[in-house]
Amino acid sequence: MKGTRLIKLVAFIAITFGLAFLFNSKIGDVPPLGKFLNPFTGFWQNAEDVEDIINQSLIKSELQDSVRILIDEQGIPHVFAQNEHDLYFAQGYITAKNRLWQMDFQTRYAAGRLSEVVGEKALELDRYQRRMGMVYGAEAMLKESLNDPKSKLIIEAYSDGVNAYIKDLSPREYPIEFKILNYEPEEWTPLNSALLLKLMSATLARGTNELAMNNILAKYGEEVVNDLFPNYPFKEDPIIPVGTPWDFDLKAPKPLISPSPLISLKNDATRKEEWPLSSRLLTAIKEENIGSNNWAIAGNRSSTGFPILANDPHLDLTLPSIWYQIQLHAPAINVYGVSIPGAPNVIIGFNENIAWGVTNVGSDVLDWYKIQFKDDTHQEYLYNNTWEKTSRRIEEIKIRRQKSVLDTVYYTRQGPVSYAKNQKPADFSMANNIPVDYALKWVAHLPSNELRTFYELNKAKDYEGYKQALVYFSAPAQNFVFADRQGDISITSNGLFPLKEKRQGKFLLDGNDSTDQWINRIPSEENPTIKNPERGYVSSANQWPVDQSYPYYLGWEFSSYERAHRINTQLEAMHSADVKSFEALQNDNYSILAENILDTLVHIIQTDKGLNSTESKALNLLSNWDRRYEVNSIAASLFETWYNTLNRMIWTDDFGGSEVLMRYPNRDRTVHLLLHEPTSHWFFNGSTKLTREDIVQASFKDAIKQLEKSYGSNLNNWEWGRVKKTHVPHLADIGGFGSKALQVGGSKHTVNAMSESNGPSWRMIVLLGNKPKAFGVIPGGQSGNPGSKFYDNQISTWEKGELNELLFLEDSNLNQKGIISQIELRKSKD
Amino acid sequence: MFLFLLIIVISFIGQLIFPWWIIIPIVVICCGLKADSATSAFLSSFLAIFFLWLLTSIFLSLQNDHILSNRVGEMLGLSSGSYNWLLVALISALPGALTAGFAGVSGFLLRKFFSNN
Repeated sequence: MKGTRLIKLVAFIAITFGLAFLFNSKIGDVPPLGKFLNPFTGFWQNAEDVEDIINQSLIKSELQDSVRILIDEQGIPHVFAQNEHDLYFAQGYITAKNRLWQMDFQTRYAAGRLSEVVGEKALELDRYQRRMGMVYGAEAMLKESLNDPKSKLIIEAYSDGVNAYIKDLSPREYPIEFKILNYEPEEWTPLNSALLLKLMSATLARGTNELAMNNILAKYGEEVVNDLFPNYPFKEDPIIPVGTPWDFDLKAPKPLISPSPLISLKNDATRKEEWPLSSRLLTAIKEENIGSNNWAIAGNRSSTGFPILANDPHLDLTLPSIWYQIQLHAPAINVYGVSIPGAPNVIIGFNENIAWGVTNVGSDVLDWYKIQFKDDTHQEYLYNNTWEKTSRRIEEIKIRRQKSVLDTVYYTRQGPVSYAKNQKPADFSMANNIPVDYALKWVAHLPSNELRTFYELNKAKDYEGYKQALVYFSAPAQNFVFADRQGDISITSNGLFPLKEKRQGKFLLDGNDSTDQWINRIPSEENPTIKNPERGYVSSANQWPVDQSYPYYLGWEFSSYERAHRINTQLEAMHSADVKSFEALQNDNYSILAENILDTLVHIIQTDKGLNSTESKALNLLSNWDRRYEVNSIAASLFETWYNTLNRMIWTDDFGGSEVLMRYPNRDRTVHLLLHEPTSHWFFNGSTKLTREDIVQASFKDAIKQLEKSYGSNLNNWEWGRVKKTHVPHLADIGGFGSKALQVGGSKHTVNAMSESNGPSWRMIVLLGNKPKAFGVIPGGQSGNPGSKFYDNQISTWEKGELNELLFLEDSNLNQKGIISQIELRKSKD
Repeated sequence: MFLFLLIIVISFIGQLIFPWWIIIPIVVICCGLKADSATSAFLSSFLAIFFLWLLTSIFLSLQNDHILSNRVGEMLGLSSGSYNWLLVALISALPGALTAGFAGVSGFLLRKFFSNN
């Protein structure tokens, strides 16, 4: 009897503890159910009261004085501090309050520390980030920043502010993603802010084509490379208008470089065993994808008599939103704009006197150097035909619930050898374009102090202030557009550009040859720039900064000119521009690509007598198309699918093989081929002698089949918005935390450059004047909490192509229009 | 009924301070002292925690306009529906209720085991 009772008791206790353990553990990707689902500490605690108005008064002993943060109707903070230390402390504090998980996760992503929280599945990604020298670069940046008393103050105060928030956080208050992934926030460090700035470089300036170009060179030879991958496009509309004289003498010494790096490695490229993995890889088609727009017009073109400036940076959109809107106010500083969650200052914005914005400069700031190691110990390598010692960096990658992995990376004078022989993973696509036994030379590894640029811009009063701020900026190189209330406008392609011989780094380089190295830089004051051009406007859309008269080499390929050309054409026609004309231009869906080739393509199809009824209908729509990628346009879906199919059909047999990594010629070259070389042998398919007409017709029919297959035979269901499927996913792709499908027009090559989920991450228009008036919108919201109404409250405004008027406050009075609450941070109780 | 209410009140207070598993010792002690049978121990504990969690969740969801519960519903793979938030609240109450049920029986058995000595 007693024995049975004991067994029963033990059994029930065991089940109880078993359940408790089960519901308190994360199993696979399933969060710990008891911990996560209980309403007292689980996710329900993240369900913010929609009516709640938070007025807080908190003691933060780290402060030097008291800080008042006003929160407006959009949830955007306006920080009023008495000194700069407190200003950046409060920025860190309030940003962490809204975006802590995003800051943590992105930092881990950048630093190669995701395995610590998601386990072994992130191991290759972590190895990749470390082997590309992300932490190495961030450390170099931090060291340089800490040498500058101003940057040191800012980055440390910001970090302290973040930690002041984390310190008081109880598990109940953790952002929901911490609960889902079942880990805890850790202390913030200034290195994290540096890592996030490096992440921008990784996003915008880490693209690399050298391996593919080398393979193409090896397969087809120099003549074909020069023909299909030319060093300047056929159609261009450069940032600095054609014919602008360069008002400097070449101060820089001529770069030391061997006459033809192209030949020196040619034999190397044919040695296929160098890339043992490439046989398993599909060709990576480098999308001409990175893009942003900015422009400014002079007062004589605007309705206000003052300049107007606009910017919309295009990125892979995510929720929580990429940008964090903020106003920062302290003595001698009053700035509004967007910041990077996790980094101090405003990155794109305006103050009482000036406005500025950025787009990416796609210059060649990343090169690969062939390294000959003495032996498999990787201790020594050949430089200038003498043996030099490598240095080693041992990366400890901690893995959740597993033993750490130690990864040794060898550094040469050029940089890290990302993957030495036998180190490159077979099934990790991000590493496909990384050559084996090559050292990475990348501008983002060099010491730099970009923080100072933004600090100076935030405070700048005029053109001089803008120019001084730019000097500190290395990477990722940006086209900084500028306007001030005195009436000056300007644009500068700014960053650290290595001084290169023409074509240096178009292909893989020789690490042994001292004349192949980066030795100097283009003098900062000779970076492409223009002030108050005669035409009355400046603009950029990632195209070539300069025409071919610029004396230095910046790279051989930039984003194609379509967006830039459309912007310039529209600006040229603006004479009394206002916020509406700018808003319309940001939302412009007109396709210059279609303008260039649609008539030619349609004409070819019109000669085809064998069209079925769907094809005839499609042809009819295309011939009457206004060339606008509007959300309800069926012709836009037809054209987009057709052009992509055509592009693939032309090039895949020549550059799409699975044997070695190659890439397609760019759009500019493809358009030229289609328009001007109808009998080119590139239209042949292997040994089949096809003509341009054959391929255009085949691709048209194929495109229609694809659309029929996906959307049915009724053309009315092929509307562009439905085919494009625009949406904003969650940063960690957690289901339900992204946006719904959005009805947005545009395409990567239209000014409104919205693809499936890459596009305008912030739209801003600033009307300079005695008091600036500004408008802006992000595809998301201020809060990083999916349980907040401010998580995605701006997304429908963004979807409609509208902008909100931005509240630019002059004083910290709580009782003013648009302010709903305040957080007061005080040094002590009295 | 008394046991049911007792568990609700003490668990509510306990969970304001401690992690969710504090319901285990609470339920073990309450049932150890007050339960009449294994069945009543299980039911009182299960239902007490079930309703405590369910009602708290519903309260939090209502003042949130169900923004988060709808998103979590999608995360859990529910197809969209206007009562998803309620379904999520019902699902949320289960792990706690189940754990409490077994803890309650354990408490009752513990008393029986020692009281017969």
